[in-house]
Amino acid sequence: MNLTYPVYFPEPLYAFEYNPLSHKKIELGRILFYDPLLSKDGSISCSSCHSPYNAFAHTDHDLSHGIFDQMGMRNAPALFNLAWQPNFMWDGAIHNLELQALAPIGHPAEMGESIQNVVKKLNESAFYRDLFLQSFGDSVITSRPILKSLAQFQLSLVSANAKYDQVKKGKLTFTEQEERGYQIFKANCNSCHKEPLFSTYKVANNGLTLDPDLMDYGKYASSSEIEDSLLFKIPSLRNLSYTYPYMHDGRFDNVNEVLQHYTKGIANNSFIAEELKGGVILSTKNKIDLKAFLLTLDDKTFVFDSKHSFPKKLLLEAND
Amino acid sequence: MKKWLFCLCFFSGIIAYSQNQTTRISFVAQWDGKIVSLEKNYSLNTLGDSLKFETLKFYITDFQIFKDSILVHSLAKKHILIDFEKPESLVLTSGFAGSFNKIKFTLGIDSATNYLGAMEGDLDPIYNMYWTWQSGYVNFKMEGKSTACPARKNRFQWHLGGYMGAFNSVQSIELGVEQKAQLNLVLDLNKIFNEKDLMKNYQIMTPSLKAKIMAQKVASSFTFVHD
Repeated sequence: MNLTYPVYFPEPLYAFEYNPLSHKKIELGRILFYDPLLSKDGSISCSSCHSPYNAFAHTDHDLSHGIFDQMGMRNAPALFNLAWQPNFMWDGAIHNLELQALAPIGHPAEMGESIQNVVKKLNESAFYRDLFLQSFGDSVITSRPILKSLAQFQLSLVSANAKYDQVKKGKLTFTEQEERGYQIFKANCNSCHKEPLFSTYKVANNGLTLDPDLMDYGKYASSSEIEDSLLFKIPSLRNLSYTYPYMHDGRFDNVNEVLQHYTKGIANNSFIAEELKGGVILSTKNKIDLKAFLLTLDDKTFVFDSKHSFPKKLLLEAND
Repeated sequence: MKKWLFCLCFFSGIIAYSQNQTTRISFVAQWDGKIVSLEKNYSLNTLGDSLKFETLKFYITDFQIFKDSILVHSLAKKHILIDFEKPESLVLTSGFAGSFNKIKFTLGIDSATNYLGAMEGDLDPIYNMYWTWQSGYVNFKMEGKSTACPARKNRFQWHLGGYMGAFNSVQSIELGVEQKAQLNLVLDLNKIFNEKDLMKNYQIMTPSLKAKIMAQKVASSFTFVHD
């Protein structure tokens, strides 16, 4: 089966030839995504920080927390349109979606487990042995089918049905205000938050000051190259209403604070992205119009789609 | 009739015998001229310091056998995890019984493979040779304890990885070798680190210049030694 997406989207970057999509594998990945069995004490699943009702973000939390109420260092990003991303995590340190799951599974403050133990636990479950047999043809479970099926479920999370998309398809029209906001967006934001994905998915320095408690240098932490200091992945502007607070450490509670940062709050340093060097000038009216446009990027059908919400099969299995 | 049968058996016996003689390569680690076993104490200096090795494993890729400049055989398995905790992984059966005088292999996992998705077999992340917080295989891992090491629990840990740009620590190795049925490929640990490293450079956990320099030393420490 193929990924469905609008004709005006670019080609996906993910190499599907190494992991061709199948309904069974997507469903298996979905069950794993919602199963807290993947954590050390059975309390945290992927969905604990990536909630479906919030476009798979950890809404209302600036920093995400894992097992034993431990606080992490970053805000869990929303998950959608992953097939178009060249790398993953806020510092872009992970290059293939299939291997991303190793990070939260193994992190002592997130799921606190090890991939070896996850493999062991799944092999001890007749429920999972049967699912893997049906999807991958082998009831002996290794790390590869676990990681590949988790990737398949996440790849299936395509968000392309916002009002903006209906307008692009010619089915709806923007209001006058939304149209004014769209023009302001194109003039001020599009170079980094490029439509129709609303991000180039590159890393950039957008002038955020360093948080002295977190001391998070972004890409520098994984590359050790000084020019990567304070570079963080540019997130998509889709589904903003569901995914607050914003930025890698969730420091902004709402879009007003974000716009305030861009117009007045940018730290004066020479490493800031070229696109922001002239400063961003927006009047109060500009901001109101821009926010009206940003609301057209919310995809309600994505957030309420039962195809990727909690799988009843897992609930039934737990009750056996 | 019986004579025919006898000749047939005799000749097939010879063929079978020579096929059993494909070249075998055994990996051996040495410290101060002694063969290293894990968890055993070795002397470090004349002041009474000692060290022991707890983990020693690394990837080799594209193990190839040459006669002069001609490639005569490549090992069927492209990526192999050599793990001193698993003695069976230390012996490679080449499947080649011909003439050769040179061997080439890569220490580590090549860049292209690092970009591919979840892998299995020797590349399975369950072997703790794949970083979780960033992409990439650990090409060479050595851990142990030494009384000379000031780290917590006297542990030294060298996780050498990196497959991109300036910090690519993958190494190509080429060695001349005398033709024999049993080859000993020796890793001389004295060429990789010394007492000063244990005191000052005992932890490498990310791709970096330090990792690359040490990986180069590892590459230079391989030699074939004959019985």
